[in-house]
Amino acid sequence: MSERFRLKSEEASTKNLGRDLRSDASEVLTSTVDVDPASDAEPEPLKIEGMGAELSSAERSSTERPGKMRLLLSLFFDMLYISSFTFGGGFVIITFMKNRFVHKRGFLSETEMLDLIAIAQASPGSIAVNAAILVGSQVAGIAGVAAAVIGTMIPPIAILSIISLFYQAFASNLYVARFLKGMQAGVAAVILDVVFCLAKSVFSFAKILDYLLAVGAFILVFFFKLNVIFVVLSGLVIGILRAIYIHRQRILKSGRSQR
Amino acid sequence: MILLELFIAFFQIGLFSVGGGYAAMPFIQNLAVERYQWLQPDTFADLISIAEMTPGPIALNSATFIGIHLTGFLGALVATIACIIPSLIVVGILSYVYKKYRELSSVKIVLSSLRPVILALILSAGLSLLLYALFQGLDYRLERFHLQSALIALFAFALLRIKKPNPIWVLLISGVLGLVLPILL
Repeated sequence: MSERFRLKSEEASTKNLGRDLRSDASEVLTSTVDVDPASDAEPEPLKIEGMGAELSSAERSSTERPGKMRLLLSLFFDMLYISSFTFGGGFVIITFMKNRFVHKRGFLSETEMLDLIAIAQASPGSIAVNAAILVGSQVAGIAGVAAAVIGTMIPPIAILSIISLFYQAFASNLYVARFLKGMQAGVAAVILDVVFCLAKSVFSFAKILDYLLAVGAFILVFFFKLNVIFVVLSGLVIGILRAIYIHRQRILKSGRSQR
Repeated sequence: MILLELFIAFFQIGLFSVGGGYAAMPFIQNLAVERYQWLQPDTFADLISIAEMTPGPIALNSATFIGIHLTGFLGALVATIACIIPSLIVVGILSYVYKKYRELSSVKIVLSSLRPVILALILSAGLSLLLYALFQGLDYRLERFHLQSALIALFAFALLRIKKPNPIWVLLISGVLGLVLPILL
């Protein structure tokens, strides 16, 4: 396994957020993210809490380890904090989590974090939630999952609840309505821009099949109004067939080279 | 029973949004707007804008928004939990597989076929959002063309491509233009 993770800069600063969101958006849909340890500008891990990032969590449990309750609270509040400040693209949260859990708290080693990112990206659902599940389970089992996930869920639910209520109350106001209408045009542009960015990375190693899949899916959905779920499941089936095919090719090749 | 429908819908949304936040969008459009008609297309556009500007993944934000819209806080909770369950299951499976076999290459191959498809779906959803804004509805006739929205969309797109700003700013500027242009034009 060589999932490598690229850090652009001291990531989460809001100045870079725009750029990061764009590159994040493309990184989200590609599963290999390259690490260059030389360009890693991480601060020294704090020695106060948690041991160095080299120890795995298993090793650390035999040395010093804060009580379980403290771990759970830490998971909860950390995710609460992180989840409150990650806007827009989902990949930014990984950087936050890495800084917090690997370097500041020492809950995980670098390698464990990288493994975790690989799995989080491969799973359905948002990266934020997937990563929270994995970190939680690694650090404190099922209770850890609960603590991390609930911490992650609360900010969006709280904020969106308030906004939804405001929306229902104010959307009929003329000025609010005009503002929203302007945003409707803007959000269409944002989505199309995202597509351009993602297209760059999705098609970077493209085979003909990838282009065919994209064009085919688009035509089916946009012009023929086919159900998106059906289209995705078809894509899944094709993906599985392709995996089986490639797997067979590998076996054949290794069989040949052994002779 | 609406809570059950919410649950089923967001379970699907959570299940199929592979590859990050935007992947959820076409499924939310398909289920919430087209299938169940919980939202009008313009409310959906507003939802996506709001979800862009607030913390949290688009899927979860939508779950709360639509849940509250339909039945209040309980709906938001049900929808959010439904959205998370597929993640729990698949992450559980994949992490077990990974720990056992130390590789995900087959999964990655499958995903590599899914990504172009999902990209196409996002494109399709984006275009329909654009068309809705340009024609102020689903009736795409030339008379209904809304110049102001076209200008805003064009400007926003150019801004995004050239300056690569944070999308939040682009959305806010678009909103302001929406207020200002009717006065100027």
